[in-house]
Amino acid sequence: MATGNKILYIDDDDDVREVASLSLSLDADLEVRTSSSGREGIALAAEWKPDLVLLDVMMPEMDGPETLKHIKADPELASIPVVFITARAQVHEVHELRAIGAAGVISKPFDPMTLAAEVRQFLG
Amino acid sequence: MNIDLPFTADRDHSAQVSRVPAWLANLVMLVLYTAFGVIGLELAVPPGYATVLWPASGAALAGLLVCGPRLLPGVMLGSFLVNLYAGGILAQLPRIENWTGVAVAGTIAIGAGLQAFAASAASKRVFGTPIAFTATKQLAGFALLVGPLGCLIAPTVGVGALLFAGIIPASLFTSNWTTWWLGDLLGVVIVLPLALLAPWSPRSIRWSQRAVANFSLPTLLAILVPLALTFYAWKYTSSAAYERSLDAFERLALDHQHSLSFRLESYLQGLDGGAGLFAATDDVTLAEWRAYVDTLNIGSTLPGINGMGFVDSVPFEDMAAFLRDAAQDGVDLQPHPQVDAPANFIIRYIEPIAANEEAVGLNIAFEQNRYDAAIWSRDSGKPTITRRIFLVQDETRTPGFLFLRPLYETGVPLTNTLQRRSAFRGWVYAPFIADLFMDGLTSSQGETLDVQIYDGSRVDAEQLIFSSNDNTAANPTGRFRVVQTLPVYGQLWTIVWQSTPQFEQGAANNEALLIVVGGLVLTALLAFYLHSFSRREEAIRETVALKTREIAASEQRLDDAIENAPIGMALLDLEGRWLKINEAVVQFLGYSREELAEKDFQSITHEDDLGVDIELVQKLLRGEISTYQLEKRYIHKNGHALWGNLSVSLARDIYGQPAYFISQILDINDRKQMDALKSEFVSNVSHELRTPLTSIRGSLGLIVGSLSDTLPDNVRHLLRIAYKNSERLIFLINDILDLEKLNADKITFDNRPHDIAEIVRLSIEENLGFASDYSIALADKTPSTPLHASVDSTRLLQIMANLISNAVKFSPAEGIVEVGVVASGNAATIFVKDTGQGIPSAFTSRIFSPFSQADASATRKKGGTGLGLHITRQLVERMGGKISFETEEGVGTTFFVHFPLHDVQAPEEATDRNLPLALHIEDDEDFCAYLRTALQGVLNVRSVASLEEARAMLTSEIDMIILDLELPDGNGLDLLATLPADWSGSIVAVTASEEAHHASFDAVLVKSKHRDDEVISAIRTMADRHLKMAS
Repeated sequence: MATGNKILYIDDDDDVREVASLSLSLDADLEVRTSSSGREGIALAAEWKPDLVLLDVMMPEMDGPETLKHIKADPELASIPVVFITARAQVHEVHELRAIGAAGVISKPFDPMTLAAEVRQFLG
Repeated sequence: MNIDLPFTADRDHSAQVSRVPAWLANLVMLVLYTAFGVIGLELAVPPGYATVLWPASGAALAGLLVCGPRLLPGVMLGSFLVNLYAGGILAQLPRIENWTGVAVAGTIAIGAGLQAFAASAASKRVFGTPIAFTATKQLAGFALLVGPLGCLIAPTVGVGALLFAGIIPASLFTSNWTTWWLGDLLGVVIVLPLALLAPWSPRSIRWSQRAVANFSLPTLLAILVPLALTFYAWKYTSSAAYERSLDAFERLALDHQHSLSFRLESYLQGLDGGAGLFAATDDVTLAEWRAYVDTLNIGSTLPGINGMGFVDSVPFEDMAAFLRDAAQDGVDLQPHPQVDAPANFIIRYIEPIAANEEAVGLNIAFEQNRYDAAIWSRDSGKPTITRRIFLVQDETRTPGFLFLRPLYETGVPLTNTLQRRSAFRGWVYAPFIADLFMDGLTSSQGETLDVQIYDGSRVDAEQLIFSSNDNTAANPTGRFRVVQTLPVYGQLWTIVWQSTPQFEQGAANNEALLIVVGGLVLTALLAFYLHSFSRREEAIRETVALKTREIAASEQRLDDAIENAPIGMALLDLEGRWLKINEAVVQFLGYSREELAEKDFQSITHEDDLGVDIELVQKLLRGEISTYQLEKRYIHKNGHALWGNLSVSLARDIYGQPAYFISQILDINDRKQMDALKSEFVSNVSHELRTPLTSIRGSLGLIVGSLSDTLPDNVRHLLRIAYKNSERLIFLINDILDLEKLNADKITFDNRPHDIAEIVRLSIEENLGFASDYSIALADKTPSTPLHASVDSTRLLQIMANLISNAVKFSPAEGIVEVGVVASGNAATIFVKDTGQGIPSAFTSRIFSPFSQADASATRKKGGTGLGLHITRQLVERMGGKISFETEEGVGTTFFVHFPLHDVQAPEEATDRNLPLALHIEDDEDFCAYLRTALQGVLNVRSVASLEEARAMLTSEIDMIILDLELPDGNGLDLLATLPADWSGSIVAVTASEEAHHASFDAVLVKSKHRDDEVISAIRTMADRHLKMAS
């Protein structure tokens, strides 16, 4: 059970990142940082040690699943739950993502008013 | 049946014919002709020269028709030999005495050859080679040509030769010619067809373009035997009849002969009587003699006798005294004729005088015959007749004779000539005119019997004494003839008795004719019947061959059709092995036929589709279904997957047992690829649309949700509009994606037993917010008792959301929408009831069609995409349910969704009995589905979503419990308390929380720490271990 409130959100779409951050910040207890690429995100995670990583799937250079792999490969980061947030959230796609180690999947477009609560579920 | 046999018949014909060397053919012809000739001779019935049946002529003609004129030498030589034999010349070899006979034989042979040649040449001219008929008239023409016409030559030549050689008299020409002609005709009629249609002869007759089938050997024998029997019977009967007739005639002749002897004898007795008179008295006066003869009444007692008298032998010197004596008696004798005679034998008395006037005083010594007979009679003492004479008293000058009886002195010895001479007194005599003498001798004379009497020891027309029929005397044509040379009172008479036509008619052997005709007719009928029978057999054989060819051709067409069909067609055995495949399958799968023959369908089916395929096959075999269709992937030889649409049916044998599968495989790979591309495109587009919509909705949502207080009213209002529509866009995209998935059949339903009531309550809860936005209250009408049905809960919630949102949107403000479920029969019926305007009747038929909300403006006003009900219905039906509605304009609408209820005790998933049973208690349905699928083949997983449900499912059958500790109705640990004491399965705890320890847990898996796949493999290991322990 992950406790804590540090959320790292990795997504290449700036607007979505901003909307998401704002949504999450409606929950005052959550501390949110974002990154625009997988590489940058991993580096940030290594340094900041978030309690949860929110990860977009469709990203250039290193897509979501690959980013996940790297996270899980790093022993220091492996235990951090990773939740995908993606427009591709059909049943089989969800299964695939779970299969590679995702803790869960949140679908886009999300409801900004409930995003924080959904994310909290994964925190414990 | 119009089979046209190929013209090989013609080729066979001439090929066969020309292959045989000429000398051999002629030799065969010679032998055959001779053989037939001998048979013909055997059939000869006396007395003619020609026979009634000459088979050789038929054989000759057949030979020439088939093999051509080069067989002429054989024919002629054969005929020559036969005729030599018939003439008895062969028997005399090497001596030849009868050169005439040889010449005649040669001539007849030439005639036979000429006849055969002419007939065959004419036939070839008119009817061709081989002989071809197309109509019965032609057959008649042919018969006429070779029969009556064709047989004219040989008889003419033959009988002419015989006539010329003097072997037969001219009078017999016609009868001989006719018999000969008939014999040849019959020979041709009988033998020619047999020879032409014999089994070994080349087919040489054609009827209407078709070669006439030959007789089979049995048929031929069946014809020849009755034929032979007929002719044998005929010959036998004819011979017997002939013998009978001959016998009868001979008796007639004998009878006649006896009558003749008797008559003569009775005349002698008359003469004896006369002699007695003379012996009784010394002198007999004329009056006494006259009285004697009168008393005799020779007219009636001795018919034919011309008179009776006395001849005196007067020595020359006593002549005058004799005359005086006679005159005294009143007999005025004028001895005549006045010629020098060796003696005076004067007829003294002859009575009745009327018929014999010229005889009175006749010196019978004037004529040699009389004189000889008289002398001989005197000297021998025996009554004697003269040789043929003409009586002087006979005006007609027809032959006659005298019967002389010598008279002697009584009481003296008469042992030798001298004694007789010295005792001699004279002769008592009777003159006879032969015609009168013979008249009416027997009743048969002149009627059934003609008789000629010749004086002497042979038939000599110069010495004819009597003939009952002058014509036949000259031309003896009587069939029967008896010739006898008899001693008649010192002379020899040769008597010829001949049968008359009257006799022959009476002796006609009609029975023989009947036999022949009857036999021929029966044989012909038999031949016809047998031939048509064997022809029918042949026709049947030909028909069978034809039908077999037709069937083979039709099968070939069928095979070709299957082989070249545009769709794959195959037959498979009950194990799934390929029995027969067409070209399309080969092309589709990339394997050769030989390679596929080694395989079964299972080995080339994609593993993901194999299960369903096999399941369907088994249903088919069990008879639960009669056919099935499946879209499945095949593995091409190159390894890549191909989509095919498979249709399978089961062929059964006559006992109704499964025999083999009939499959059709349609290549739908292109379509699938197209569909996939389309799907992917739609999917891509939808997803692409979603990303910007995330920002739009997010921003607007944040503003409207949390920042609206800071906004001016008009701004807030506008932003609210924007937000609502962005949500609407999202719904639309979701619906489009759903629709696409539905169309592409991509939506998978995770149907599991659920308490419908519970789900309905959940849906009410989820949609309360939406309803309150519209100021609508949702009334819960669910029962407290569970109603179990097999549904996909996520999808059911989606359905409920659609129905409730429709009801809410179309209800007036402050209205109530009732949502509930009832059990009706064996179905659970969910209802959503609104109090809106109802659905106009014009639209009731279309409300489930896409984009067909009752009113386009209503759509815009009320929101919604227009796809909702369409998708809803698809979802309902895919889950095995039914959707319906009731509406009343102005009152409201109620939608009903029915699902069949089922017993929770009987789960629907197919379970493999051999696998351990696991109970997965987890409220995350996605994870449940994922786990269940992942552990297929390892565990049978039953999932429940709450502790309460779990408790109901806990039985000793459960081998493993997979327990999420975070459950809606409590902690998973609580379950442990309710476990049966003797339960010995394993428990795996899956939790989000780290701190979960319990002695009972065999394993603890932390969701955040472990990837899903790690969870799966851990459970799998445990399952294996469990299995090992169990076994």
